[in-house]
Parts: sequence; C-alpha cells; structure tokens
Amino acid sequence: MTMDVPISKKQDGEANAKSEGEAPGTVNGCAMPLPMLRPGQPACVECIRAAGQAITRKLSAMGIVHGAHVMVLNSQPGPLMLRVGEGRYAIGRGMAQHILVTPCQ
Amino acid sequence: MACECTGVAPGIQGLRVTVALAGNPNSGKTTLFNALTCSRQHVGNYPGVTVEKKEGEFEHDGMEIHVIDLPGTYSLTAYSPEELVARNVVINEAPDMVVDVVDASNLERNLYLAVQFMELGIPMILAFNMSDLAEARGHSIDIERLSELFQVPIIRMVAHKGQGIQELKQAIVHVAGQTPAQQPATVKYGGHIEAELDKLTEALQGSVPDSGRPTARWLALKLLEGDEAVIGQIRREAKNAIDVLQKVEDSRNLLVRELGDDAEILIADRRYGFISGACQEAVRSTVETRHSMSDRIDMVLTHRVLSIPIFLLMMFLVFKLTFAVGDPLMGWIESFFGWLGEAITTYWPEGAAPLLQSLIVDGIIGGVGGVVVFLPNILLLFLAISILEDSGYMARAAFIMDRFMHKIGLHGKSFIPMLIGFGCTVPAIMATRTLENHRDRLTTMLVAPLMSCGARLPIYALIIPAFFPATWHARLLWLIYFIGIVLAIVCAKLLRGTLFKGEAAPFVMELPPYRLPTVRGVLVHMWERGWLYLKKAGTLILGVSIVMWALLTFPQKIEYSRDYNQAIEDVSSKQLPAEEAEELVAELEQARASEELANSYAGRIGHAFEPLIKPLGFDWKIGTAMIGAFAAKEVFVAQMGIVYSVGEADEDSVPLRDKLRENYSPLVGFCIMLFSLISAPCMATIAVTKRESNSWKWALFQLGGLTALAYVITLIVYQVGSICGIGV
Repeated sequence: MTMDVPISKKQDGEANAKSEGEAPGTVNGCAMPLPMLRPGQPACVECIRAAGQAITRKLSAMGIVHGAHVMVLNSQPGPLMLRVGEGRYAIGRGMAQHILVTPCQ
Repeated sequence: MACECTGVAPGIQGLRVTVALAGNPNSGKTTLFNALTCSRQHVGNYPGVTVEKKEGEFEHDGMEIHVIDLPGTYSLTAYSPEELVARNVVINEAPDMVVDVVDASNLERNLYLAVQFMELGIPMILAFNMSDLAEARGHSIDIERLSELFQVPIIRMVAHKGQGIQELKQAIVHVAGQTPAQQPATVKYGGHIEAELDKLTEALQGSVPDSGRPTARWLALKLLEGDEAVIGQIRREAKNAIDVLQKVEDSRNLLVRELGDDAEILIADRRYGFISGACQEAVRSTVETRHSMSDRIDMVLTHRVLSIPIFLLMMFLVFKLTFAVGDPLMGWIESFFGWLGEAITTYWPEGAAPLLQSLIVDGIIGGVGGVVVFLPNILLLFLAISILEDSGYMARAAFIMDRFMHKIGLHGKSFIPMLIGFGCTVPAIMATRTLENHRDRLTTMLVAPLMSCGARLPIYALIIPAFFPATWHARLLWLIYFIGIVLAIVCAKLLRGTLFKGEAAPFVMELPPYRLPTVRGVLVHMWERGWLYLKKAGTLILGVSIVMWALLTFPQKIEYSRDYNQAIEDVSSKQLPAEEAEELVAELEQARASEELANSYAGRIGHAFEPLIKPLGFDWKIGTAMIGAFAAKEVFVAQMGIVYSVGEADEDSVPLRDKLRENYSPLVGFCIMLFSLISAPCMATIAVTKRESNSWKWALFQLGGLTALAYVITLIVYQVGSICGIGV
C-alpha cells in the first residue's frame, strides 16, 4: 500500500510533463521499460521509476540518468547487456524494469 | 613494465605530502599506483571492513609523497563499504590532494566521481588515463579548456606504457607547493536546489567540524541526497539535529513538489549536466559510437549458445593450470619439508629434549609445511583469476552465470568462488571478495565448504575401493560430489530465505572492455593475494597445528599393555633372519604408536565422543581420525593408519583397506565419506572465514552449522540404511 503512493504520484508527474498524458510503459507511445526495447535499437532514458534510493544512486553512478543514450546489446534471457555511452553494463531484468526509455533514431 | 622511479637519494629533508589515489574500477588506477610507487607499497585492510588498504611511497624533486590507494568506486555515496571508505579517507585522513584516475575513453561517467571529489572541496589532479584509446575512438579532448572549466590540473597519460607518469609527479609537487591550495570549481545545482542548499547550510553553521572539511555545503548536499551515513552523523553530533533533519525533510518534499523528482535524482542529473556541459565545450567526437572490438568479442563470448561451452572450457583451463601445474610444485615443497624434518631428526642430539624435537618436527614444520604446501595451488589459481579479471572475462562469466545463480538466490559473481571451492576452500572464500553485497558474500562463504575440495579426495580414494566393487567407483565418487553441490544449493536457498533474507542485490555490473593483461599487473595481483594468505592464515594455522600436535602427543607418561622396549630387544636377541626381525620390530612399534594414540588427549576425546557418534556407525577410532581431519581433511587417512597400526598409510594402502573391510560395513564407509564431505571444514577454512567475514560469529556458525548438518544427514543415512539392511 505505502509503495503505491509515490509510484502513482510520479506517474502523474510524468503524465503532466507529457501533454499526451500517455501511461508509461506502452510500446507504441513514448516511454517503455528497458527490457521491452528491441536489441540494437538506440533509446534515450526517460526516467528511473519507483526504484529505491540505492538503485537510483547506483544507476546514476553508472551514467544511467535522464537523457542518457542507451542500447540493449543482447537478446538472450538473463541480465541485459546495456551500452551507455562508451560503457557496457550487465543489468538484471528486475532492475531494468525501473528504467523507462524512449526509442530514438 | 616501465617503472619510473626517480632516484632521489633518501635522506633529503623535503616536504611530505599525502595523495589519495581515486578512480573508477577498471580505470587503470592499480597500474598507475604500481607505476608510481614501484615496490614500495604495503597492503592491509581498513579496520572493520574487508576493503583492502594499499599504501605506497615515492620521491620526486626531494619531496616525499605518500600515496593512499582508495578502493575503486563509481561514486561517493554511502551504499557500499568501498565508497564509504573512499569518502572517509578523504574526510578523516585529510590527504593534501586527490589524484582521480579517469578513463578518458569513457569520460562522462568517469567525471561523475571527479565531480563528487570536487564537491568535497579538496585540491585535485585529474589523470586522464587511456588517452590513446580515447583518441583511437575518435574523441579529441581539449585538455586545457576542460582544465579551466573544472579548475583542476589535468594530465594526459597512458599508464600501462608509462606515459605521463613524470608529468603527473611534477603536477603533484606543483599542487602541493601552492598556497593557498587551489580549489576546484563549484558545481551549481540550479535555482531551486541552490536555495534549499543555502537554507540547510545556514542551519548547519555551528555543527560543522572546525577543520573545515567536510564543508557545511557538502553536508547540506549529502543531507538533501538522503545520505544515511551523514544523516546518522548529524543525528549523533549536531546540537540542533532534530531541527536540521526536519528542514531536510521539508526541502526534499519541496523539491519533489516543484521539480517532480526525488532530490537524489535531481542532483545526479545536475552533476551530469555540469559534466556534459563541460564536455560539449572541450570534447569533439568525430566518430559516432558504434560496435567496438570489445562488442564484437562479446558477440561470441556471451553468445546465447556458445557462451556456456566457452565458459566451461575457460573454467576447465583454470583448473588444469591450478592443479596440473601446481601438483608437481606441491610435491617439491612437501619433499622439502619432509627432508627438513628428517634432517633435524638425524642431527638432533640423541636423547636430548625429545619433546622439543617432536614439537619442531611434527608440530611446527608439519604445521607450517601444511600451509605452505598449498601455496603453488593458491598462487596459480590467483594467477588464473588475475588474468581472467584483468582481461575483462570475469565480469562476463558472472554475467553468463547470473541467470542460474539467481535461481538459487545468489549473485552471478558467486559462481567463481563456488567453482574454486572444488580445488581448495581457502582461496574460494577469499574469492568472495568480488561480491559487493554483504549478504550474498556471507551466504557464498558459508556454503563454499560444501563444494568437495581436493583434500577430501584421499578419503574417498581410500574408502571407495575398500568397500565397493570396481564398477561402482566412478559412480560413487560422482555421487559424493553431487551431494555436495545439491546441499550447497539447498543451504544457499535456505540462508537467503532466513538469516540473509532481503531483496536480492540489484544486479548491475560494469563489463569493462577486453584488454590484454600486463604481465606486471597480473603478477602483482597474484602476489598480493598469495602473501595475504601466507601471512594471516599462516599464523593462525601454525597456532592450531601446535594445539593439534599437543592433543596427539600428550599425556606423555603411559602405562603400556606390555613392555615394547623389552619386546623389541627380545626380537633383536633372537638371531632371526634380518628381514623377519625388521618386520617384527615394525609391528611392535606400530602397536605402541597405536596405544599411545589411544591414550593421547585426541584418543581420549575420540573415546569420549564415542557415545555421540555411535548412532552414525562410528567408533572411537574413526572419531579420533575425524579430530585429526579438522587440521586438514587428508590427515584422516594417516590417522586411520595410526589407529590401525599399519604404519605409514596413504590412500592406496592395501593393508589399511583390509583392516577397514574387516571392521566396518560398506554403509559405515559411505557414512564416513558423507560426514567428511559435509562436516566441519578444516581449520584453515575456519580461519579464513573469520578473517574474511571479520567476525568469529560467522566462522563458528559455519563450523557448528555444517557439523550439525553432517551429523543429521549421516544419522539419517546410517539409521535408515541399517533398518533397511542396505550395505550392512
């Protein structure tokens, strides 16, 4: 229950920011969770959603912040191999779920 | 390779400065540290945490420069012990400056750490390492411009080729000579955050340490980020703690309302904003990011089908190197200590202080030898691990195994220690250092002894042929190893579900680009770990060896059931053929040794334990041998040889096997193997667990827990087996 409050708050904030008011996570719209991204498709990090402080900071330190350019490099099950700038990271799918991205050219 | 030690004569009275060497993991920090300090370095641990503390010295221009090698970190938050240590060293040990090693080929992320050091307000030098790689990738960095923007000196270097080392030394001397010390640029966080920072800075006036480091602004920033260590510190030390923390709460809420995000996200965003702003001005990238060489290697090594066979091949090679190359070396060390013991026995003045002789030969040489004998294996294993790590493959191995390890509640990186455990548990437990999460690390450490180590093999090799037909041999051996693996998985799951409950550590790990490891780097790496093993585990093992020796030797005065000396003399006087006489004497001496052992404390303990181990099908003889096995598992075989008076026994000893077959059933034989597999790991393991977990609690828990588990399982197997009449 307590977990829900900040989530919905943040989703609202995001919906306000985008005039379309689209729910995050839809595939055709803007933001989708990182694991849904097609391998090889370049994308921009939209936001880190509903992650704890520990995860947020860890991601920040790796350069996974709003606006970062990312690309998923692998397609097998298990952790994702992610390219962020010149860095390569292995990132668990659970954690990747918190990262919302928009595909770009 | 290039060792750039300046030859300033010692004794020149110069200034002494302390430099903290910081940087991201894989930024080449260790290479630089080695190049700066050459061999003048020492390794220890930071008190209270198992984070390695490396320090070194060098001289330049008559100035003595002391280097503290901070642990490699991406950030300076309080979430991992390494980050906390790095931060605390800068705050508490007040070095004169920080040299931050930056991987210039991955600039923006590496500068994130630099910015956090800048926030601490300490003079800093940026060492732009791997500049050649950055240029090869098409990034051209205007170092002068960047240096202006950050207001810190920047040195271009390629540490592993020795480029830029002299310039860096010069810069250190230069910065140390500046008065007042040069302050790096201040990162501005934008109107809203700055306003809140000002409020908090003001509230903190008066509760800031007199030294001026950390500054009130830094404390305010950390409070706003929700940094637990700083919040705790304020709560303990500040007079107006409640007021300050209330203000922090208000500010955080305000920022969420106004900017729509948590303060820590906003602050991280601004830091990256500052960095990318600077980089836009000073860095030109001519080439679009595309798949690098490293990515192409990854396409093969982490391929969905090929990755597993390649991984298994790599592990096979590691094992091959460790044991095939190590075993002959082990043999040499063993024979050296054997020779040393014999030499002392031979030249020892006849009849003089026999106890002292026994202590030196059996206790000390035997004990030290028992530790040193594993050194080739350990060094080779660490050599292999260093090569895997430095080349970048280790991170891929963890990546590949994560899916499977995750299912048993562990981390991808736990796989490596478990695998090493098949060789020897001691380096396995030391290898858990690569695990960042404390719970993952303890779990791995506690279950690692269940991976059947090499020292247990002699026990199986003795027992299996003694009781079982040849067709079963391989299958039984396989079964024992399999039981160990299954138990390790079950125990890991159990521990993660109970004692080490909690969210699985989020799996994020850098996959560093593949690199050719340098010979020097790999050797230094290997030696550091090997030396730690020798020094620390060695002292404790030596102590316990002496205790074991005493248990087996005392009490001295014993009433023999017959007069052996007399009997031996009788044999000699009987004019028997030499061969027959020798045989009789040997028999008598074995019988005497057996009686002495029965009467020793170890024997008495074995007797005392008999009622307890009877339900497992064990008698006091097995009990005594098990006590010996605590010193080192393979000692079990030799001990059984002594209790059964068959003289020098090894795992191929036919008379010992005959004795075993006469006295025990196959079921008991199986139970001995089972108990040896699961029960109390050897004392070296306990010692190293204590050291690595930093507490006796976990070491004793491992000892007690595994022994209890062994007892219960063996009890069930023996009782069920007896009732059903299997193998009796």
